Formats: sequence, structure tokens, C-alpha cells
Amino acid sequence: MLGSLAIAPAVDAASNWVVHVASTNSGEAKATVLPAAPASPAAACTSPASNKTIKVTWTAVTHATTYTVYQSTTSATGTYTPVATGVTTTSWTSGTTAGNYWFKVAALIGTTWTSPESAATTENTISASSCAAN
Amino acid sequence: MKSRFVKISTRIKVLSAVAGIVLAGAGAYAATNWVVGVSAGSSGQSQSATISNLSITAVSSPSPTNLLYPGGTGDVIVTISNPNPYPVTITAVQLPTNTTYATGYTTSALTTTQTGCLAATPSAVAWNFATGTSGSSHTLTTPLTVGASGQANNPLAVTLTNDASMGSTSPSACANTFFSLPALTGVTATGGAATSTTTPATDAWTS
Repeated sequence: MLGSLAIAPAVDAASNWVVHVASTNSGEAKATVLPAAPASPAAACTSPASNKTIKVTWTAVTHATTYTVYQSTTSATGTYTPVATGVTTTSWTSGTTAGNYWFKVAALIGTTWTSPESAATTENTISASSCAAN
Repeated sequence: MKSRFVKISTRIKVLSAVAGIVLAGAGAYAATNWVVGVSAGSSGQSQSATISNLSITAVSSPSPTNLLYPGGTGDVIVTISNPNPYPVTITAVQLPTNTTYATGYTTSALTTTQTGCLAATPSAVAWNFATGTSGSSHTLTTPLTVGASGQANNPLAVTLTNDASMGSTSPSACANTFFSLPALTGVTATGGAATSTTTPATDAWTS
């Protein structure tokens, strides 16, 4: 009868020893860097030109969840303001408001990991009746 | 003489059993060593021995293949040391809750914390597949056997593929950061004859 008590709760039925882990254990992981700016941004009037819209395209960024498109209406080096956020594809089409336009794009991973803004696209102009590259 | 030995042996069995019960009640994953009785098989005699805990340590080598990013998963690198004079086989791990976050560090040495990327920030880095309940158990794809003390494959370096996760709200300060994952709450492991796993190894839990 006493023999049946020989196996303590910490020992399994196969007579193996149950082993535990020190409480201060840990593992190491690493995070990737912030996303790079989208490469090769381009802007071109959609066809036909009478649509009076500009399509901006860019190269996908690894792990990017959304993109933000910025525009300037003064110059390539002017002030850029966001015109589209949460874009989930690698293109975006403008509105039809007349003006001169330059665009930049930034990638976003998650909610806070933002890339730098891309290089500016070339200029495109929307007039009262058409769209043209400059 | 033989009769006397059996009596002593029986006393050891009883004391060992009581010790095991007390220790189990005190906490299944205590950091201290355990002294428990082990059945010696058909002879009916028993032995007593010290069972020491495994040590699992964060390391940076081999380099992880999969790096963390918001909304993604990454590899975790560990070395497992077995101080016992017999191989130990690990079949599962028990995880802290999914809101127990890792602390970020500036280098792989894990000595200087990364400002804006701490466990309390939070970093949003946790063990993958962890749940809201502490101690959830997750079975390894392949059992890992760490060699006996002083033998080959001890310590055992293991890449746990995609077993860390980073929430989509992880702050940008966590980019290019090294993480010390929170402590496992336990492992399912047994000591006994087994062929050790060759180091470095790759393994994972996938659910």
C-alpha cells in the first residue's frame, strides 16, 4: 500500500521525471524598420482627357496596410497636404477641380508606422475641359 | 539487511510523495529545484533525486528570419539549458496572457530599453496565440529534446517560427527594436531517455 505512494504528483505514469522551467525565462524577437517611401510615384491624366482626372500610381511597400496621398498646387517643392488617407491599393484618382497638381505618397503599416513621403510626381494640369501633362 | 533497505526505501517513498504534494500545491512552476521520488520500476524500490528547472534564455543567434511589424508575426530565438543528468523533452509551452507585452531594447544585448516601446507603453508585442487567460497551453509542432548536462545539444538553440506577434497599434518607436518576450508560465517537459534534438533547431506552436 505504501508502495503506491511512491509516485509523487510531479512524476508521470511512465516513470519519467516532470521538469519545469525557471520563472525568469525569456525569448528574443526583432522588429523590422519603418517602411520606406513608396518608389516610382507617377501621375498621369486618365483617358480620355476630358475626364479631367489624374491617376497617381506607385510601387507597393512591403507590409504596408494603407497609403496616404498628398498634393501640392503650387510647385513640386511647395506645401503638400493629404488628399486621400487609408488607400489600400497602389493607385488613386483625383477629383476634377481645375489646377496644377504635384503628388507625393506615404506608406503606413498598422496605425503609427509611417514612411517618409515619396518623391514628387511630375506636374499635371486640369483645366475647365481637359487634363494635360506639363 | 535487505529488509532494512526496503524499509528505508519505503520511508523515502513516503517522504518524497509528501514533498511532491506540498510542492505541487505551492505552485507548479516554482523557480526552485524539486526533490521528488521516482519509481525505479519492477523492483519496487525507489530513489530520490534533485530535478532542476530548465533555463530558457533570450538570444540573438541565429538571426530571426521573420521580423515583427504591426499586424504581423516574427520569430523568437531562445536557448534552452538543461542542468539535469538526463535528456529532457519539451512538448508544449504555457503562455502568459495576450496583454502581457514584451519590452523593447535598443540592441540585441537587451540591456538598454527603447524609449516609447516598453511593456507598459505598450509595445503590443506578445506571444502569438496567447489568450486572455494566463497559462494557456500550446503544443509544439515537434517535441524538443535537450541533451543531458554536459552532453551535446545542451544548450539547445531554437528558432520559434512566427511565435511572437505585434499588434497593429504598436508605436513607431518599436521599429528596428529588439524584444525580450514575457516569461512563459510553464512548459510541459519530462526527463528520461531520448535522442536529443540537434542544435540549432526550428520549431513552433501554430495554434
